[in-house]
Amino acid sequence: MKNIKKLLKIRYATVFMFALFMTVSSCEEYLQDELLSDISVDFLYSSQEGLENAVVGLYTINRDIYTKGPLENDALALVPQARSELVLGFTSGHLSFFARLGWGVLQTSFGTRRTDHYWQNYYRLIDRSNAIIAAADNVEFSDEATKKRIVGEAKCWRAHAYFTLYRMFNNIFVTTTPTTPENAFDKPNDKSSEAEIFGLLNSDLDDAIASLDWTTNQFGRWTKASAHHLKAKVAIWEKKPDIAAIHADAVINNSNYELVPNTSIVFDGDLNHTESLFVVQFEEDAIGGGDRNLMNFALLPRYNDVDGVKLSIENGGRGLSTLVMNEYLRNLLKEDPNDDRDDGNYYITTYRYNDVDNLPPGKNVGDPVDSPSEFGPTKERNEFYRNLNPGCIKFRQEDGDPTQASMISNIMVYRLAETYLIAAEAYMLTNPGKSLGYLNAIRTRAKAAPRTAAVDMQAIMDERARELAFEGQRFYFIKRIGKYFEQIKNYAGNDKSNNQARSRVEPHLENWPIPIAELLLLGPDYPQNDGYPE
Amino acid sequence: MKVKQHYQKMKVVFSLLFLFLSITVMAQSQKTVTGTVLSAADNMPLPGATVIEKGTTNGTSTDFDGNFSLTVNSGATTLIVSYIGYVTQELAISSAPMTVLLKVDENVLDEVVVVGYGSIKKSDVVGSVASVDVEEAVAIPTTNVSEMLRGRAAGVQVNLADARPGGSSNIIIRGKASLDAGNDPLIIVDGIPYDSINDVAPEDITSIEILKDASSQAIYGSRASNGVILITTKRGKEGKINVNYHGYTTVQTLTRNFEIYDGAEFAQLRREAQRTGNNNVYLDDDVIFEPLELESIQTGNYTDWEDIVLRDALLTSHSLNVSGGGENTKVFSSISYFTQDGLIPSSGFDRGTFRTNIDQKITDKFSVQANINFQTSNQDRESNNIDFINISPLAKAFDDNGDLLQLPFGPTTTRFNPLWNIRESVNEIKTRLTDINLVGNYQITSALSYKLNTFLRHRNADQGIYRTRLHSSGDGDVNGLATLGTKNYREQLIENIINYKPKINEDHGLDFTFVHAINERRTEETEITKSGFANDALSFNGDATAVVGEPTRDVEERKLVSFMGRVRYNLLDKYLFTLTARADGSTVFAENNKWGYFPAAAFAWKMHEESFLKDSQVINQMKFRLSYGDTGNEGIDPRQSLGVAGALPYVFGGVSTGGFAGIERLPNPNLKWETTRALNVGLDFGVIKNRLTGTLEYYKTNTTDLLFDRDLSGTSGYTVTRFNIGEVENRGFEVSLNAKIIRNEDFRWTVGVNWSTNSNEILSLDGTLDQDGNPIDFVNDGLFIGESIDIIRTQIFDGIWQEGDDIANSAQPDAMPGEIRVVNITDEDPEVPNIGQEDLIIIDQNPDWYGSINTTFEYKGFELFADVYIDHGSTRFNPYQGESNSGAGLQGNANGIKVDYYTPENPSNQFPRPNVTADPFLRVLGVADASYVRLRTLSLGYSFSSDVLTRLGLRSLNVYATGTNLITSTDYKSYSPETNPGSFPDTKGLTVGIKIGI
Repeated sequence: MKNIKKLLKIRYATVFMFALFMTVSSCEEYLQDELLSDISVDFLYSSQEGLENAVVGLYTINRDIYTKGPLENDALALVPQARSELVLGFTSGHLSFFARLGWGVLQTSFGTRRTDHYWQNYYRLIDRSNAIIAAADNVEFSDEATKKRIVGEAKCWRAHAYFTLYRMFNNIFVTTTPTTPENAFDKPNDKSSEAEIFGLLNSDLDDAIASLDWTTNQFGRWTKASAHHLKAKVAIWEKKPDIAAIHADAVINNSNYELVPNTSIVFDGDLNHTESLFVVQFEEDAIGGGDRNLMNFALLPRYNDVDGVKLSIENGGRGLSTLVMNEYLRNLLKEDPNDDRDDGNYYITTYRYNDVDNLPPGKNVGDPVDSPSEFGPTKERNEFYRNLNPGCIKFRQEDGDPTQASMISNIMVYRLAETYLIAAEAYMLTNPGKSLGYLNAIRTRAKAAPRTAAVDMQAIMDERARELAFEGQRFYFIKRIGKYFEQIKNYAGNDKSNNQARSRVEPHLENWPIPIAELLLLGPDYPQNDGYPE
Repeated sequence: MKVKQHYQKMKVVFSLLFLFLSITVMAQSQKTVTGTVLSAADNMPLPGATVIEKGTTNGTSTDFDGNFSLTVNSGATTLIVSYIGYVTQELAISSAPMTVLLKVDENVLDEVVVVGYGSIKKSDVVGSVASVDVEEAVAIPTTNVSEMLRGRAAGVQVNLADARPGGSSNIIIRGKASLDAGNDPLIIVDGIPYDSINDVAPEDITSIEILKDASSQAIYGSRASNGVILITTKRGKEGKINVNYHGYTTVQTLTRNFEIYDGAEFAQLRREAQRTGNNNVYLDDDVIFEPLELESIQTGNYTDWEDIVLRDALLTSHSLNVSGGGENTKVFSSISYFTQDGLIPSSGFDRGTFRTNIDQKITDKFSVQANINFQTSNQDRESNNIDFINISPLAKAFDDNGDLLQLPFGPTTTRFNPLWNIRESVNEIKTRLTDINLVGNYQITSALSYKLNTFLRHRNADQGIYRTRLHSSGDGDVNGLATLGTKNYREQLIENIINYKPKINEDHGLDFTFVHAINERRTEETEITKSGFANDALSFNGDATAVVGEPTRDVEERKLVSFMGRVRYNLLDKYLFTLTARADGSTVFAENNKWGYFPAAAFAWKMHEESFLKDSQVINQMKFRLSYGDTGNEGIDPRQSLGVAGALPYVFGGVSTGGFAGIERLPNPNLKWETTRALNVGLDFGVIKNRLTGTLEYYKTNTTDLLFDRDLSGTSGYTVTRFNIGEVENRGFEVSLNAKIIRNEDFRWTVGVNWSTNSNEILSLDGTLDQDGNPIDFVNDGLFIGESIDIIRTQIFDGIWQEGDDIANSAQPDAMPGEIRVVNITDEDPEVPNIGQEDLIIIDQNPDWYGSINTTFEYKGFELFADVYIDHGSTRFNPYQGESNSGAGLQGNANGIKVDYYTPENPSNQFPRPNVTADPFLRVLGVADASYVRLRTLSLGYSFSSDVLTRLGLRSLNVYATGTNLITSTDYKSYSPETNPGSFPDTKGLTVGIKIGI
């Protein structure tokens, strides 16, 4: 009891003084809201150190496309791939719904609405880039080079994000003003014109090219080379082959960049080689290493259902056969039997026995798996598609655990092979010899016979399919050359399986619908893309 | 083992407890007094009346026949006899058997009621205050105190949030006033704000009051806009030591009102779905089933997941309290132990609590109180989801030896056995709570007093999750995955309270209260995930080799400074006025908007004191009440007026690099208080000798400047910003009635009813107008002006398309027979009928009314209590009937609630045809009437008569059996209408218990 009294007395005294202090001194200081475990946004945009952090933040925001979002992991980054004519959406799943044009058509369907993830994430990337670019002029830098690099990287991000948004959603709105509490509810009410969009893309990329170095010692950052490449892509979209050629040549002729000698190296390991132009970075178990994804799982079949075959990295890792190579793509690769891209380098065509204990009679480890015919009766066909359909291994983690569905490894976004093919396309009419040389550089590297006839659009289309399938560029490419409708109509899915997209496709589907929820926030007059109900 | 430790702890605690109780009993020469206590009105015996020797703590209570026998000091002269509801009498001791006639106290409303910063006579209550019958409330066996309030007071709605052991419920008083800033009422226990109502042990509660109108709430102002629940715990009384024990045990079982497909039915469902997807031609079983599924179909060995996953659960509670005291020191001390198994293996909850309330008088002017509450609890949660409904029955959960199989669908499949994961994981949360509340009272003059109230709370929770190397997320090269989290919560409160009651004269009573309060709350959270354990032996306590993801640390602090003043004025004991004003400053608001000012006024008129009613034979009580005032809400997280950058680290070439950016939330530098203005009109009455008492109330509350998480367009790069917008109105009517229908010697029957309505309406949002000048709704957020906050926006189910229907010319021209038909309300272009946004209707989810009826029968020592709870007209979305992921899609891949689906041979007009893709309008089937009527409590108890008690040497002995949720009538398909089928199921319980008083 005594103790309590004592305690009470002490408390009483402190409290009394405290109360007195409270009334006398100002409450304002006491009621200050403080950040106790967070960094303030004000810090980010008011110092060189803050801006350095803010630029790194852009890379992470971009990476979220691959790892975070409202759809389960399998559908995150592969929706553009799923909407190309090179895929078969076999096992039911989000990606196959997109591939079959079940999703992405009706604005109200669950999957279509969820493409708002792309919209929101790229606009977030744009706003944070805007903030960095706007702040850079008011911050003191230790040296001009640092400022140029930071602003250059931010401008690359802004261009990359707007260019991607434009190619997906068409009716986009561009701004270079960072969002503030004061302007957050302003409604644009109308889309931006193509002149505005491309004006900004070009000026950002020109600035970035002028500001960035050819290489970086922090693999994964934007460089002068990746900015040139992006500029070439923008130019060819604008139907300016001469400008595209200049920028493609700039990269091709730079001594730091060359095609790696074999297709087996292109997607092996951490992708840190002379052909890589822009690579999204992951690292297992590292702070900032990012989360795992299920892309490889979607792209490979369930070969391990077959007796005598178990999960292995050599066979491609674990798969579900949600989004696999279709007949059209496989036939393109079959045209030249020596083409080694589908020999386990970019794509696996043959799965091999590897389970000693369960081998079927007469088979040895290393023998190709007996394949049910993809042209047989339904049951046999489905077994082929489910268990042994060739699959793309561009997202495989070579040092991963083959029994795990999820993997984590660097993701190739832009590489020199595409620059070559852009150059081949750009020189097609003006310099056929150069054009053929670029195309054949890609073919001979893959051990395919060099082409002898002059390059035409069909040759570009076919070579791009073989070389770049599943890297995310195909949908934009067929849209750019005006063949989206035709290609989907003729080739999506397989003749005998899951070709629903062929009957569902309509010309207006080359533009994704702007998510309804976003449209409502853009003002009553903001236009939905043509062909979709308002 | 754990239990043992607990008991050992208890032992230690007990020995300490008795040290506190140093009361001496003196032996003197004695005599015995006997007598009978009767009701003066009808000469009926009054059992349980208290008989005390005046000036001592010596006393007894009457038996069932009203008889008492008390041994008193030979010098004793006076007895005090009291009984609730009767006027207390003092009378001289006579040697002959005494007959004591007690008069009914006509003023039954004059129980003392706890209101903010003090208590007053019930008849003097001016605001809207509902008292809960604690006896009835604690009849529910749970640690979830919120559930005890369900149906106990009008205007109080309780929604089950988490039925797992140690789970919680949400309490909403008079409807939802706030969109985002929380609708939880403020919980005050013995004058101290509690952040969780479940932190008070039910056995310690002596009274619960609920403050519903602005005038009563204003005293708690800034956190009271959603109502206040005042809980008072038991305290020691002057008198001899009382020891009470209460123990019970409950068996919980599951009830459900739906069936799921068994194996054969599920196989047929898949065949039908595949057939529909294959142009009406059945596919071969070996095409659509996996090898293991085929085996299951052929052998008929299916898995009933619910049966293997769920088990009956047992719940046990012991509590013991000791109270007593002398003139200067009074102590109440209790310990209790509660343990509950969950229906799902590995889930469970146990808790030990200890409370001591001490009152110490130091001098005539100075007294102190110390209230100490200590709790330790352990909650075991099941790992992963508990989705035993959707998992296919074509599976093999156990191998031929009866051991669990890891992959119940075959070795090449990926889906794990849920029981496997439950076995291969632990998830436990250990919580320790320490509350210290010290109060000093100083009676400066007879009219002026000062009170210092100090409070310190520490809640420390440690969570450990471990997934072994056999668990689906700890296997492979993960080698065991653990998450360790700690959450420390600290709350401090200091209040300076001055009370001034000047004596003027009989006709004028004045009472001033001033309060200055400072409150600080701080939460510190740390979490780390690690992997790569050498073995599973040490669970999450082992050494790991790798850290997974980023360890997180989050520190949050909020402070509140308040000044409050209250004046109560009583004129002629007929007209009562209360005026309250307060100013609150909160850290969570923007720089220039920290302070909010909240005035309130209330008036009550005791009509029965007026001459025209004073002599009425019918009306004994009649009081009219009116109040109007403001309260504030600050229930948002701090930091929302500041720009917070999220950590976004990245790796370049494998090397970690720090990165940051603002992420989801845009700061709002103009954030301010949300204010609720409430009007309350009430009438309290008692008629026919107070046999029927009751309260009628009407209220209207308008909440403005709602703290709302407003959606930003994606083009802004942000998702939300906290914003003050709009206005929400709640209106409602409440009735509480209590009737003593029969009251005679052997038999008593009372009935209580309470009934409430609430209608909730959004009056305005951000004020922007569309082209036609109409205010714009927030469609994305589901907020529509003129509608309730809780709505479902849906098309209307109109049956199933049948063969022969004119589908081509309908609004669903692409539909096939067997698909869902919805009502085409209107079309923008009548030429092109279609189903679009214009065909959506809005349904209010809230009940039209809810209430409860309870009744008590007493016959001799028996008491039967029944309580029926009714929710009428509420609507909910049941994902198990309207979402393809939850098995409602009839796609044959997820199991679900069994329905009589459409087939071409057996066309249904209720449920669609199975198909490989879900019906586009499937969601309309999920919109379901969630009204229900439930017998929540049925309890039969017996109190032993005084003869038996004397023989046993006990003061009281009571045994009872209670059934909880015995009968439920509802159309909502679930284990319980308050929870969806996939969440932790709510149960039916059977309890037996015993109460002993010494």
